[in-house]
Amino acid sequence: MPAIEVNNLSKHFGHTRAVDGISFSVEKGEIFGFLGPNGAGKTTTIRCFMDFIRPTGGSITILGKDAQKDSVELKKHIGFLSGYVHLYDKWTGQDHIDFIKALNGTSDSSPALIKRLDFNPELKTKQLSSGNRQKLGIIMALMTEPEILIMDEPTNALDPLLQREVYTLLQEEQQKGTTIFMSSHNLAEVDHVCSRVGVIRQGKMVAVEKISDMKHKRIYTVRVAITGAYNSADFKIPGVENETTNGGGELILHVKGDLDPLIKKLAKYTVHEIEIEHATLEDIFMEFYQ
Amino acid sequence: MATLIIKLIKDKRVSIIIYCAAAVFLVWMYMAMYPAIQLKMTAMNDVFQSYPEGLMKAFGIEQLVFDHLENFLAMEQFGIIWPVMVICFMAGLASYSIAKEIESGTAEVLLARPISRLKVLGCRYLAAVLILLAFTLLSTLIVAPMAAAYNIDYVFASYVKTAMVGFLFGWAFYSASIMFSAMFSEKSKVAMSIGGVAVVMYIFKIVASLVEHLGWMKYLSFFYYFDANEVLVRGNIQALSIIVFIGVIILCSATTAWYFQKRDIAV
Repeated sequence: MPAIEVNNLSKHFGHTRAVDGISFSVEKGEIFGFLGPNGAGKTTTIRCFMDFIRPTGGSITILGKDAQKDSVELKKHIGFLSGYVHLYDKWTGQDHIDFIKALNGTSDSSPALIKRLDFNPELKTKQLSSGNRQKLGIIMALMTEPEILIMDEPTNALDPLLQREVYTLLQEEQQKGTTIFMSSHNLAEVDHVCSRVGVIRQGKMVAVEKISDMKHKRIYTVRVAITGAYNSADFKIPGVENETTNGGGELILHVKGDLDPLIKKLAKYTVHEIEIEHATLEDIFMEFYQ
Repeated sequence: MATLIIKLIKDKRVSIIIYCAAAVFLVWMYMAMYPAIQLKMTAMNDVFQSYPEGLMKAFGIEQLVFDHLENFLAMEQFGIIWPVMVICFMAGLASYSIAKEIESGTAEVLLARPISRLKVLGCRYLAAVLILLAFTLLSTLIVAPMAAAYNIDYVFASYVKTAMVGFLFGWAFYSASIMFSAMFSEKSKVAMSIGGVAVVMYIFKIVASLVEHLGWMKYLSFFYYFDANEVLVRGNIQALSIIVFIGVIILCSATTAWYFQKRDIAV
């Protein structure tokens, strides 16, 4: 049974289809990255998970329970981090931690997290920098040792050292069996932490794949230097999406899929130099984003 | 549950102290003034007699004889100042309870916890009603020890009755305010709405007292049902007032629960 299962989820705000019939699942113990450009529907999906907003259609099942009907029971097992950490300005960090402890009534690992993230819980939250607010948000999400972690941009506003610490924390949580669902804009972060990703664009799911499979996608950039003139019509091949000339007879071609038809066309010419680059993860994501 | 109730009381402790202190201070001021006013009652009555009858009616001044403390307080304190204080206090508590949480995004901190929306609402509601009860009892019954301290005669039962009807008046306004708070996601909208409702109700009461054929308008005003002259001076509690206030409380509270349960909290 998947830890999170989303079936045909949609959420409309008037005529705006923020999320439009998405389906995917997250397996127990995996770190799932949820990617997409701004306004793609990531936060809306997460808010539906948390029952902050009610879906227009479809269903969300978390740990085998309905995210809406059983939301109170489910929240005993969910740690949540918002994309922008909202805090009570007049409270200290410790007040927040005590509040969560009182309401969740489960185990509390906040002292260890406070030490590890080097956080001062005695300050009022209005005095905290955005990085320290994020630290407190992470402590609040992790302190109850949840089975599921739902995090919207977990390393927002953190410096690179703390980002690395958070990645380690998340990987340790995963080793304990925690399922982590995180949205992110940081592709390096996703590459480093996640085992699988889902890409959402304009409210629709455009891909759900393992990072390793994505990396092996057959997307290439081919740079060819041809001696003499060439007919650009020869390179109007299915899968060869882009064709640019870099002066001096050098062609830059972006190829999706099989390279063979292009190689066969190039065989008609005298190729002075050829360089075939495998697309980076960023290039691959950009393919989905655009 | 206690955590949520204590949280609201703790967060609003400064407002609670300010409102309670202001109410006590006003009563103390009136007590200190009353012996002097009693001595100059004849001269003051002459001044009041020169006022237009409509103006007197508009402000609910029926008897200009301050021979009893209750007449004086009905006009000075419980006729307008106390109801206005209660309306502002309740609107503030109600807007803080829901709209401010949504506006500032802290609703996410609350709703990410294993508590139902109805429980969150119920705890906030209960905390506010407890605060209202404490404020009402303090601001009305404080008259007894203060009057005793200034050797002024008073009818204790009238203050108990005023506290009872005043509490229902405040609760009805709180119910309407929390309903607006559940519907809107901004504090300012809640304040504007409940302020608008209060002003319109007050205008209805004035118009009803000035224009005979529009007398029915008084029934649309909470200020008619909380009539300080009736309850404090005459010691009467009108059954209609109790029915209307309880009806409004039930209707607004049920609407709040239904709407808050179904609405999107963060968009």
